[in-house]
Amino acid sequence: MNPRGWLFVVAGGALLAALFVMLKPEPAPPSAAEAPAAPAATPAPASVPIGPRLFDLTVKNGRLESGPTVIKVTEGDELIVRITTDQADDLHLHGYDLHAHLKPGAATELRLVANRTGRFEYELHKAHVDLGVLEVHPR
Amino acid sequence: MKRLLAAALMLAPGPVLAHSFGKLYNLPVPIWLYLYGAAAALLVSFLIVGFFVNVKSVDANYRSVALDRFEFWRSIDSAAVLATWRAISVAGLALTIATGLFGKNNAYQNFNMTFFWIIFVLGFTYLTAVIGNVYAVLNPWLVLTQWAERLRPGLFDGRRPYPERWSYYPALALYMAFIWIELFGRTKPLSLSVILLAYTAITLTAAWWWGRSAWFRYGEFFAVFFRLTAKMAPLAYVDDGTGRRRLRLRHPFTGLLEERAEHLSLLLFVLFMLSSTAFDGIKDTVFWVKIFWRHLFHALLPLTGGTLVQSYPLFQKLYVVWQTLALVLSAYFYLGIYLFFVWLARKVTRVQTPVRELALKFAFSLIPIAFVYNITHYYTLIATQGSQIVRLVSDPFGYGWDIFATRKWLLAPITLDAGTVWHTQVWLILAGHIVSVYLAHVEALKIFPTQRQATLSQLPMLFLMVAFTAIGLWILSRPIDSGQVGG
Repeated sequence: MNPRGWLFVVAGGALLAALFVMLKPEPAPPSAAEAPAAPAATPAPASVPIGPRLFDLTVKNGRLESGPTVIKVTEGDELIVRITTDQADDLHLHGYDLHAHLKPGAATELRLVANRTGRFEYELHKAHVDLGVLEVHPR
Repeated sequence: MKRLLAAALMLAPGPVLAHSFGKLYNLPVPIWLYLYGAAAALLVSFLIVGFFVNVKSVDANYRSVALDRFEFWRSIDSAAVLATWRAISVAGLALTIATGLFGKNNAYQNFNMTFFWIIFVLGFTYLTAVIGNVYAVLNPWLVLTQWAERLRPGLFDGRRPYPERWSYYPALALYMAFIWIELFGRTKPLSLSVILLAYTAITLTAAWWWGRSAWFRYGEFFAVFFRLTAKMAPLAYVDDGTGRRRLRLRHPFTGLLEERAEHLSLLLFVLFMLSSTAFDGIKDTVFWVKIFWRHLFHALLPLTGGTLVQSYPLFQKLYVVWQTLALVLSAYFYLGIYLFFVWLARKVTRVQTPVRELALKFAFSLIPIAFVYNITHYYTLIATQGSQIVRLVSDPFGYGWDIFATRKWLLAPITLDAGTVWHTQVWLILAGHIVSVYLAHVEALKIFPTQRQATLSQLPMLFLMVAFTAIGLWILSRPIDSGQVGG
């Protein structure tokens, strides 16, 4: 490419870099818990998390009766998902590839550290139902 | 009312919550990054216009170097090597079908789903963009016709001439059916094998009826798809007229300038490459789901005369019709946008060339944008799901075999950092955009009589491409519906 071409490339690169620096926001603090979507919602945990964050889900007749459909956390957060179900089933969290066998009656706790970022669905295998999504946002 | 609807939607898993293969773990791109991408695309496009204002000739783009004087090429272009690769290709197809028919019907434990949807449809496409149109010789269906002709010479000469006015419409129709199956077919290993068998039957029958060369040029949709994709590649296999293939190395993407799209159906094919990926991106977003499940649902419910719970199954069926229509019409929607800007380009340059002719000439310059649409939407699947092929080759049927002793390899899931994914997506889309704008400029310099007209014509084209790029970025930034829409 001739010198004039290189001039455009360099100028373009500099402008793109400047624009990027201008638009990029400051890193945000960890976000609070996501609002639930189902009618009968359990109250969200305290807004200043100390230790693991707790999310309560209730499953009845193979569907989510109460609890958030979107669990939103920040990378590195420790969380506990506590599920109460009326029928035995297997919970599978994609991405983290975690399995938990759910026994009816007693609540089952799934503990994890959100070290993978992304959007991960979790479902009940026997009921063939997607319960919700875990969103782990980068810092 | 809201509660009732939410409860009704909980009665059965709606299409939004369907369990499908190849889950994407990508988060929506943050708004600031999407705005940056769009602004950067606009800025860079104007820079390119500025660069071309004084450019006189662009012959350099067509320079290519012959690579076949090297021993390496001569050794791989031999009949024996080709025959081996052809056999491997057919064996791959056969194994894909066999594992689905006789293996475990679980998408994550059977070889065929990962091999077909990830390794072939995604991986081989990206490979083709680099190494060129190897599919032209390795097409398993083509090879099957060649093998059959050894037993029955002339079997695929064709009984009737291919109707010229059909042009690429058969390939386009099959492409649309393929994408529909990909998005809504909820294929499992068994159904995938059945579909591949059906496609084999269709391809062989059509090749027998209209002749092999006509069908594999106009109708076999993978052949058309890979041929278009390969135009971007720096490697080209050129028939020198004596039946030998010459290998040439050229600047990447210059293959797109060699010819114009020969027919409206091929232009639609290119536009569908763009629109189908865009549709796949948008169909799961809150924005899109709301259109049907909130606005249309509430508008149409009184017309059905039934209660919410009674009408729900009807609306589920309607939703499938709605999605299908949207998918098919998306190509025409993009065609409308494209033709508008081409018409504008014609208007400002005051040339006599009909809009149709101009539209066909600029068609291939859209392929880089279509390609980066595809990569940015799907590439993470190669890491997260494609990696599983290592263990699946050892146990293709899911019986518990361990042929290559890799059955336990890469069991731990692979996920990519969301921040990295966002940046690669935006930068890739920007790169594809730059290539497309540049190519359209070069094309304009070829078409328009004066340089001033060429530059003028590119202003509407610039907005066209910024529009396509911005739509692509916007879709990537939309929140995905996770069951929030329901009242």
